[in-house]
Amino acid sequence: MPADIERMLRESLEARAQDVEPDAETWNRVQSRIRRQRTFRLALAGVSATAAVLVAIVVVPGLIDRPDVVFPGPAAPTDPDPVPGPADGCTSPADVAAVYSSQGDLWKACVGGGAHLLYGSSDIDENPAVSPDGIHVLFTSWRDSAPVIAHVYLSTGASTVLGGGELPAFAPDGRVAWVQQADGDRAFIVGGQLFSEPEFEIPVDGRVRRLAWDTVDDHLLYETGEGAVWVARPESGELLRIDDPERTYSSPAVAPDGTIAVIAVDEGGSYELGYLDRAVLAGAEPGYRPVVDLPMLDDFSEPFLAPAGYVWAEQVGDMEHRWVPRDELAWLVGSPGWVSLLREDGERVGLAMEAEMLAPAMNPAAVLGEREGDEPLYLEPQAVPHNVEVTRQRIHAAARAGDFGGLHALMVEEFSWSFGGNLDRDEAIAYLRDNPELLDVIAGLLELPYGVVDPVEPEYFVWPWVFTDPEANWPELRDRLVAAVGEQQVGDYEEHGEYLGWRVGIDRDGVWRYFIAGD
Amino acid sequence: MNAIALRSPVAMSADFADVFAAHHAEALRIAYLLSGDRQRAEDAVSEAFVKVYRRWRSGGVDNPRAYIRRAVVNEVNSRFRRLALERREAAKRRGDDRGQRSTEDQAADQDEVFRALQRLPERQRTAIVLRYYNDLSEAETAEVMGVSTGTVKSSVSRGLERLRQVMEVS
Repeated sequence: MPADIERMLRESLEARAQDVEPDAETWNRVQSRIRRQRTFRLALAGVSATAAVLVAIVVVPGLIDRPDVVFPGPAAPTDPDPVPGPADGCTSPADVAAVYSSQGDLWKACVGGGAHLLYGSSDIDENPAVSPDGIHVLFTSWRDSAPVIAHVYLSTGASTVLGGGELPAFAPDGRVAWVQQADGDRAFIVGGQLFSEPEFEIPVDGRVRRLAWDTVDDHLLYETGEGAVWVARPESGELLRIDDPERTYSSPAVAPDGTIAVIAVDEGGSYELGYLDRAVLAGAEPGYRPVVDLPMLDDFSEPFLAPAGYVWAEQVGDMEHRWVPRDELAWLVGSPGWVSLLREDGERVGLAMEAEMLAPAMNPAAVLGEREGDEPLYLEPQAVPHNVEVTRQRIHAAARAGDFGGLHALMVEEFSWSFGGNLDRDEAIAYLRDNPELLDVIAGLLELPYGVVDPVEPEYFVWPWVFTDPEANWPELRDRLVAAVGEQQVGDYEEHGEYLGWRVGIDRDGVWRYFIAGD
Repeated sequence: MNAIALRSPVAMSADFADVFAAHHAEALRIAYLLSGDRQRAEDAVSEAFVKVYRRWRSGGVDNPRAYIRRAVVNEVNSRFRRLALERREAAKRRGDDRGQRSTEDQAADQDEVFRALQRLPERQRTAIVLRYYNDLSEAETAEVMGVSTGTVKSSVSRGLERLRQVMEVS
C-alpha cells in the first residue's frame, strides 16, 4: 500500500500537467468561434428585428396587458402553459402531501396515494414550498436562465408567476420569504405576506443555497455553501453565523416542533444528520448532537434535508409506497437521484417515487396533525367541475397578485364587465386598472361558496352563492360577504331580498364569462 | 468614398488576449487532468474561453482566473458526461481506442495514480484535482465547483479512499 497517497497524487498530477504544453493555435480557434457567434447573433438580430416589426403591427393591442406584478422583483410573463392534469385525485382524509420536483416538473405524493404530476412545463421548476394551510405551493421556475417565483394551487395545479426570485419558504403564519440574488456574491432575503408587497429585505453575503423558516419563532435559517448556517431575523435584519470548528453544516431544516436539523460533514468527510440546540438562535455556542449517520454513496453529494413530520412510508409493491401517519418525527433526506425517509432511531426507507425526487417539501399543517380551529380554509377546493375549479384558482391568484395580464388571459374575449352590454375584455382590464380595489373584490368573492345558474346554456357557476341561493348560509356567512363586497351591497341585498352586487361567473367549461354588478 | 474600418470583436478587446495568454496554460492543464485527453482538453478550453469572453466583454468578471477555472471545470465535466457515452460506443465498435491516442496520453496511462484518478466519479476527481494540483482551499474549490464545502470535503475524502483501494489492489 502506498505510504503517502497524497504525496503520490501531487507528484502524479504535477508530472502529467507538465506533459501538456499549450497549443498556440488555440487562441486562433477562440477568436474564430467568437467571430462566428457574433455573425450568428447579428443575423439573428436581423431576423428578430423583422419579427419585432411584425409583432408590433399584429399584436400590439395585446401588449397593453403585460403583467403588472405586485409581488416584488422584475415583472415576469404570466405562465402561458396549460394546466397539467389531472392533478386532483391525490387527496386523502389527512391531506398529507409532499411536493417535490423531478426532472424539472413538480409532483405531489399523498398518504394513501401514489405520485401525481402537479405542474409541468418546459421550464425547470424546483424548490417547492407548501403553505401551512396546505393550499399554496411556491416554487422556483427558471425562465430564460433567470429564476422567478411561481405559485400553484396544490389541489388543481392552477398556476401563475409572481415575480423574480428563488428558494421560497413559508413561515408557520403563512408569510413567505425568498431569495433575490444580486450580482456578485450578494443576495437579499425578502419576504412578507403572500400576494403582497414585501415587508422586509435582508442583505446577505454569498449565494444563498437553502432557506428555511423557523416553525417556532421569527427566524430564517440559510446556508451559502461555506459550511456555516446563518440565522436572519426579519424584524431587525440581524444576521448570526453558526459554525463549528469540527464539522461543516449544510441544508438547515426545521421540523414542525422546532427541531433544527442540519446535514453535517466531519473532518473525515462523513455525512450525518444532526440537531442544533435551539439556543443557537439566541447566539449561544452551537450545541450539536449527531443523530444518524448517512450513507457514503458515490452519488451522495449536495444533500438536501426537509422535515417530513409525522409520517412514514409503507411499502406496498416493489416500487410503491403508501404514506401513513406515525408518531415519530421523520426527515426526508437525500441527494439528486436518491431520497429516503429517515427517523431519529436510524430506521430508513428508500422512497421509490415516479422518478428522482428533489428538494421535497411537506405540508407543515398536515404533518402537525389535525388543523386547528373551524375557520374556513382559504380557497379550499370547491365541488365544481375540475375545469371550473382550475379557472377559479387562476383568477384568484392573478387577482391577489395584481396580475392584469393574467386576468386578461383568463377572460373570454367578449367578457362582460358592466351590466348592460359591455362585452370586451380589453375594456374590462382598463376598468380594473382604473379601479384596482376591485381585484380584492374578485379574490374575496372566489373564496366564498358558489351557486349554479341553471338551466342556462352553458351552465354557469357564480360567486357568491347568494345570487342563486339567497337564504342559504345566512346570516352565518354575512361577515365574509361584507368583507368581500362591502357593507353597502350586503345592505341592499338584505333590504330587497335579492343579491345584485358584484359577482363572478365561470361556465362549465372553465371559461371566465363575467365580473359584473347590477341587473 | 470613405473607407469604413471594421474591427473584429476580438481586435476590439486586446485586453482579453492578455487574459488568455495569462491563463491558457493553467486552464489547459486543469482540463487535461480532469479529462485525461489532451485534444479534448484543448477543445474544452477553447469553448470555455469563448464563454468567458462573453461575460468578460460585459464587464462581469472581477477575478478572471477564478472565473476561467470554473468555466473550464464546467465545460470539461459537461463534455465528460457526453464522452462517457461516446467512449463506450467507440469501445464497442473498435474493441479498444487506445491506438489512436497521443504519446502523452499513453504515457499517462502508465501512471497508476493518474489512471485511477480518471476512474473516479466526476465530482471526486474534480475536487481532488483542484485541491492537489491547484492547491485551492476547500472554500475556493467549493466556489469553483459550485458546491458546498461539505461536499468538497466529502468528495476529497472518498476520492482519496478509493485511490488508496485501487493502489492496494494494483
